[in-house]
Amino acid sequence: MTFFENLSGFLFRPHRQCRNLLSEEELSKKLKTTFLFVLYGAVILSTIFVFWILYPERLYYPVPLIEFRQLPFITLSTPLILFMVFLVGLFLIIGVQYLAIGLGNYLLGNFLSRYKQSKKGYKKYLIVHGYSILPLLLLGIFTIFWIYFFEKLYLATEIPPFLDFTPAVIIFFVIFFLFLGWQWFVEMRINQAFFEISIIRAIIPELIQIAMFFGFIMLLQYLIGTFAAGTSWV
Amino acid sequence: MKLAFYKKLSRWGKVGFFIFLIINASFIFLLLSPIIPNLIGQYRDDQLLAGCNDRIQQYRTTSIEIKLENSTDGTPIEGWNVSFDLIKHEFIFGCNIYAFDSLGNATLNEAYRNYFKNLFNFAVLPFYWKAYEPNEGNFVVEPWVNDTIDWCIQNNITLKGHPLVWTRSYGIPDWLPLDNDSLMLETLENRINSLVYKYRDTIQYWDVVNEPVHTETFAQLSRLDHVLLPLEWANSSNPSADLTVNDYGILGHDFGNGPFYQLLSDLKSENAPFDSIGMQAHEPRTDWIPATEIWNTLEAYSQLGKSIYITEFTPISAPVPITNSWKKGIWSEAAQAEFARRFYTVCFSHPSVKGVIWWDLTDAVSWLEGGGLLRADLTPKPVYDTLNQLINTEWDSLGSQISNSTGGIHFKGFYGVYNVSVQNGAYNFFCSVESGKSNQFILTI
Repeated sequence: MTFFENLSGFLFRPHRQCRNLLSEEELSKKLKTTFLFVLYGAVILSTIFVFWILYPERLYYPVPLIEFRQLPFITLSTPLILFMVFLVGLFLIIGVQYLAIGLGNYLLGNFLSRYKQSKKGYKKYLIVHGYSILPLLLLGIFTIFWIYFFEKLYLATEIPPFLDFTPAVIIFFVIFFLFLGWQWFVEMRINQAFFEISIIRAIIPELIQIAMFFGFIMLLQYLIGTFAAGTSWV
Repeated sequence: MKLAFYKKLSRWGKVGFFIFLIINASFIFLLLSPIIPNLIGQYRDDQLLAGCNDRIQQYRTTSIEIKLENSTDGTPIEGWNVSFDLIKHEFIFGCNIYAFDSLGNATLNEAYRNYFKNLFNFAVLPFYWKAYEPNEGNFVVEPWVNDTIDWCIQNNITLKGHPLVWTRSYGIPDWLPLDNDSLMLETLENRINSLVYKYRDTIQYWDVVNEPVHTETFAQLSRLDHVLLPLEWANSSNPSADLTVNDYGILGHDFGNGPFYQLLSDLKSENAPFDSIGMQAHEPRTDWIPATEIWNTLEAYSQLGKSIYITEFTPISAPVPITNSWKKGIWSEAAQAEFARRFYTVCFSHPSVKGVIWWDLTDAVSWLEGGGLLRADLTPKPVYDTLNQLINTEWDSLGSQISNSTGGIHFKGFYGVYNVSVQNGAYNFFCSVESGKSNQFILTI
């Protein structure tokens, strides 16, 4: 089972690919490969995240970074802000998506499984769970070309609203959620194969994740709105 | 070797390899992308500018025929030397003249006059209400305005008044009864009627409403009425005047989808008597607006079927970063000159544009630091020399020919007023070459 087979396999037939991978020997080497792949994906996605802000900042609208500059209540230079955005991206992918959500899925999956997965530990789960970022990576690629060729997607210059809901931005977010749905589907099928549970049970960790995702979005809106409003007394 | 590696892959491996390639290629594209728009932007601008000369020839010049006839029997005069010189462009090359005779000493004032009349055929006079009428009925600057008008007329310089309505800073005098809308409106109507009528013989161009989509409306009128009523009052006082509605933040930023375009469309639907669209060209103040974006804005607004004036153009030479463009670096005198050359060339090549007006001739009084064509000591900056080269050399029509057997000479020249000299100044004529006319002149000698 080569790395390339894992890429296409986890994208288009995650359930079967998960079983195939787990049936192989020397899984410790596979964990290393998966972790390097997640790191590689995190670097790409974080760079895209930086460019998502950098693009409009450098090319079109000189304003949005001011908002970010004010968020931590201290004055930061533009390169430092961009580096921080990059680090936040790395943390979101490796720390949150890979390790934390992976742990959550593993605990829930174990709880939901009829069998006790004593032989299938957290490390083993991380081998297959890492490939679930593939749809996110494709979403990142799509975003690059969307911003570059079609729409100057930018954070609004005034917060709130966090985003300007123009038709183009709405279309982008419809596609964004299609890719996100794909990612949830891949994760769900991996869970189903790994924990040997029914599709209904495999959905449960995803539903919790979706609820947390929207909760996070709403919290983000609220926090940024609060911080932006609070800048007057800084 | 590489092919062998690929052949060893399974079907799913090949698909995965292809996905991996796409991701990597896209990432490389992403990393290179900040320089790509710069290269593309500059290329597109250069392509546009390369086509400007042809368009200038197409839209700004025409075939001119001058025939010499004998006054006694009408026979053509053959073999005489006829020289022609464009002395005033039909296209407006203008500037505000706010610092006329106000620079503190006679030497500077004289230099100001000379530099002004050498370059410009059009001057903008200030009619900011608060400055023009600081107390009701007390027009303190009127003597200065009249002196300036006299000088402009003597030097064949066309005049414009700016602005009749502006609800910011100098546009609202302190004595205006802000709590009485109907009285305010009546006062404004009187101001517009009296000014436009008083200067009907000398000022044919007016910026009637300034910055209507960026300011509060007058006396709580609707946005449309805020513009429509002053236009109607001005038109009734001088139906032949060229009336402009003027705003900023348009060029390079609004491609026919902004509130200003919508307002103008609504005015047109209401048959409002406005003749031209005014676009200020200095917001944001440090932008190097790409030529293609200027062109696209002009194209969008030309759909309204009105003339377009660039009413306030102030690129700067003060050392601040250039923004929002493929062009990177710091503004300087050289950058100011280069941007102005590109800007004037693009505008002059667009058929809907009737004029470009520089905003403040000298840094001594410039509203933006380094926004003048002249330094504070009135020495010319490179931008002055650049515009001088464009207006008075590249876009000049000057020459001489010997009349043929029909007594005529033919040449292609820019629209405008020509001084025609026959037989080395023995006879002198003025010919006005105007767009939309046949431009054949018979000079009887």
